[in-house]
Amino acid sequence: MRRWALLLVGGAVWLFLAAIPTLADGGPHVAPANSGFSTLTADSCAGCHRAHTAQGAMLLAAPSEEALCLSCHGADGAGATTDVESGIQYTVAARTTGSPVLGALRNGGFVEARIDSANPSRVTYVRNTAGDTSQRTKVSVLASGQPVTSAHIAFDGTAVVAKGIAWGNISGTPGTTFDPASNPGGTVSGMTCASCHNPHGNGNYRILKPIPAPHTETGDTFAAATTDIAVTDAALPPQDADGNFTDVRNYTVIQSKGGTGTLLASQVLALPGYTNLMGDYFHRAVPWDPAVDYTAPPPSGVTANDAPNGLASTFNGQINQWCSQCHSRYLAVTTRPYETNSGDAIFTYRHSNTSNKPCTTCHVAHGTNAVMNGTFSQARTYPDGSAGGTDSRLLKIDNRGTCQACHDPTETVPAGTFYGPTPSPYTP
Amino acid sequence: MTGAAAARSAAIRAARGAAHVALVTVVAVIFLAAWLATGATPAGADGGPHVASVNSGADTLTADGCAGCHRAHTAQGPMLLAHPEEEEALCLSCHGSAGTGATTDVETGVQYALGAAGIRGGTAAGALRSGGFVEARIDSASPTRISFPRIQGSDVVTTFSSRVGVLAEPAPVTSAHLALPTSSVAEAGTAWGNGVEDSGPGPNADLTCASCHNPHGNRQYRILNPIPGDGDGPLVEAGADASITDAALPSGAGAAGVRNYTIQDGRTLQDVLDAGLGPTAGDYWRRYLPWDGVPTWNGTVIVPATGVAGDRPMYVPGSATNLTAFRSQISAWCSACHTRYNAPNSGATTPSGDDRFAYRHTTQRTECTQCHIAHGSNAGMAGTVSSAAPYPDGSPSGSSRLLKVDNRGTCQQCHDPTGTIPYTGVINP
Repeated sequence: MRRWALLLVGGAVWLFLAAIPTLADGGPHVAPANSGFSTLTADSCAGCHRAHTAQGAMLLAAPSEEALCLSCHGADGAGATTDVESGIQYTVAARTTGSPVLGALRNGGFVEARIDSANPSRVTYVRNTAGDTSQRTKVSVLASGQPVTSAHIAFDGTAVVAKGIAWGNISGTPGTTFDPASNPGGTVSGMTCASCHNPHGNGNYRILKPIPAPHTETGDTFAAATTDIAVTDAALPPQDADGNFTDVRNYTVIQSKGGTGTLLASQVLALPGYTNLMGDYFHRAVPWDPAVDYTAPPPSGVTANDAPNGLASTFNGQINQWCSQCHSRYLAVTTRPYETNSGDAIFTYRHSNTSNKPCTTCHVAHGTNAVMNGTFSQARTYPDGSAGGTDSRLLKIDNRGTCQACHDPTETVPAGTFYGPTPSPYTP
Repeated sequence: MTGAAAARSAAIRAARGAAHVALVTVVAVIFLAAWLATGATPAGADGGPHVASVNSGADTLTADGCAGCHRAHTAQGPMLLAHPEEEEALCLSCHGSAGTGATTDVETGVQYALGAAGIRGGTAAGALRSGGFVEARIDSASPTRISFPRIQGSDVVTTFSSRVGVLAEPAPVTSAHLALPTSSVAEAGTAWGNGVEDSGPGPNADLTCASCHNPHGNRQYRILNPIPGDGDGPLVEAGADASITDAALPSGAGAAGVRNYTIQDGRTLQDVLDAGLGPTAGDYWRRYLPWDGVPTWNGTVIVPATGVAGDRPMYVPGSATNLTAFRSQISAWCSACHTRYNAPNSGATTPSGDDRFAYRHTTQRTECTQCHIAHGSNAGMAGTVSSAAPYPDGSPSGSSRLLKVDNRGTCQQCHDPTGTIPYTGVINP
């Protein structure tokens, strides 16, 4: 194992120097380099590690893992296009405050996010030949960041509360193993960037760990998954003759149908009418509005599933499986889980994750600025029964607008009805 | 803007125009509901999480009310309900006798005044129109009747208006549309008269609150489902919507923002409180409003009534927005399930063709809710004949059939089959 790790470290060295600030994607996180596959004289290890003068555990060059990650990916970082504190992607890695912004990050931010959670736009359409209606919704992008109201990591200075419980986590098969006793989930001692991401690269989408691993200490009850889950990644950006990347991936919510037209920053910048306020955070369908006859089922193929990796037929299912590696009992891909008792004392009836509504339809992964100021929404407890306050549960829409994004339980809204502001730009 | 973009924008504008028409029709509701959505629960305003314009997205796509009843991942009941076991448990958490989230207590059949905290107070304002599921306050043993003249052909004949008052204390129900665990009602589980001609007494039905009501709101009176049913057969659900016009949501603060669900006059709870008649006021019969404002005989001709003929829920004398279509609409709605009870004025003399529901009392001139309440009744059926009257399937039952008057006093509230009572304003008993 140590030998394998050393190979990874060695391979990263080359990448690190090549990556920043030259706009190259992947930075020191490219698997072939760090694994030794492409070189055994990697340089990038030195970007993050010190063998003898490390300031943080695991020989990190910074006092903490977050501090290290944010040195490139933070609001004040200058080593990556992605600013995960502010929830935006810049067009250049060597960025400053005034650098051009490419767009808003898909997963929001840990300190601020730019999700226009208060102003979703919705159209009602006929979804089947029986005449049943459903809704399609766009959640647009704000021009400036707003403080987050929930996040997967509780950064200092935010109002985020770290509950120390991986909700729904249980040992066993995700979506299948339940607990008739009251068990909200395994306890953890913290979340770090590396709980979900492998900074050395691993070939997975967003370098997600096949088995994510929150920080645990003695006494914690978190049950780690035992089976790898792969989320297929897109190809790396193009490289020049020297192996340097000549483009940057698009990490924003800006997405063309099928995703293949917006995998790279250059493709985003070339979109007709491009602005950095483009994008749809809800992305249940891409584009959100097919702009066809709403009184008949949309023709097949007029929209596509969410596909940030360009793989519209597989992404939703894979990301469901991946999120459920920790939140095991949230996986609800069996028949009618909303009216079928799972046998669990807490996660008894559950919203379906199928039919193109995976976890990432309703939730962002990093942090959201959605506001929970309604009487009912504020009163909602966490799964362990403790007061939830204004925690927004990583949702993308204020209060329980998330429900309305797909549902009209009053059955009073006719097909073709638009509610909410006209998005600008309208699509994507 | 490109040509394609312009065309798309035009299409959007057109679609929005259509939507705008719908919006205009509910604009009053929208503005009122906006206030209600935030101040409704537990602040005591009407509608609570049940306001259609909120839940439909018409006035907001960031509704809060969903969280009042549903959980996406930790639901304890089917359809992602927050409460375990039966749907009723959730409804009763606000609308039950121990609930505090709504002024209406459908278990004991009473609407309360608001308390100091803006939620249900401890003072009863009036008895609920539809009785209660566990107890009701219908003074079913002591109706009062007044005769009045009515033209029938070339004759002047006698008919009656009645008053069925309110008990000071609730009594256990003897029939109800739901058999709650805390009541002594034995649920027959049969949707009497449902289905096509000659299809027997009716199929089994498993009712819940949502069989009749859409808790999300739907702009219908009492948020009644346009097509009631249990959703999973064998009940034969109606093929067309049955609409029932609702009054506008109240716009005032406090009790002025809460509907009047009692049998007293008034559009709002504040109207009831302002009248100051007390919780035992009101009339469960409501053939005339007021009950004795009937036509009179001056010795030569019939003098027009001083009151209004026919029930109008939430009645406000002189108002142009009273629910004048209620009677015909409610009969059509009830008949969505009790199909073969729907009878024309000739139903008593003309055979329907059905072998069981052959001759039937009209539900046109006399709406279903004239004789029956919807939730539960405490009317007694102790009489020898009434206590043995069989259900439509032939099984004996002492059920009060949701009637408002003991035994078969219901018949007497309109009829004098002896022909001995003059139409001159005779009050019985």
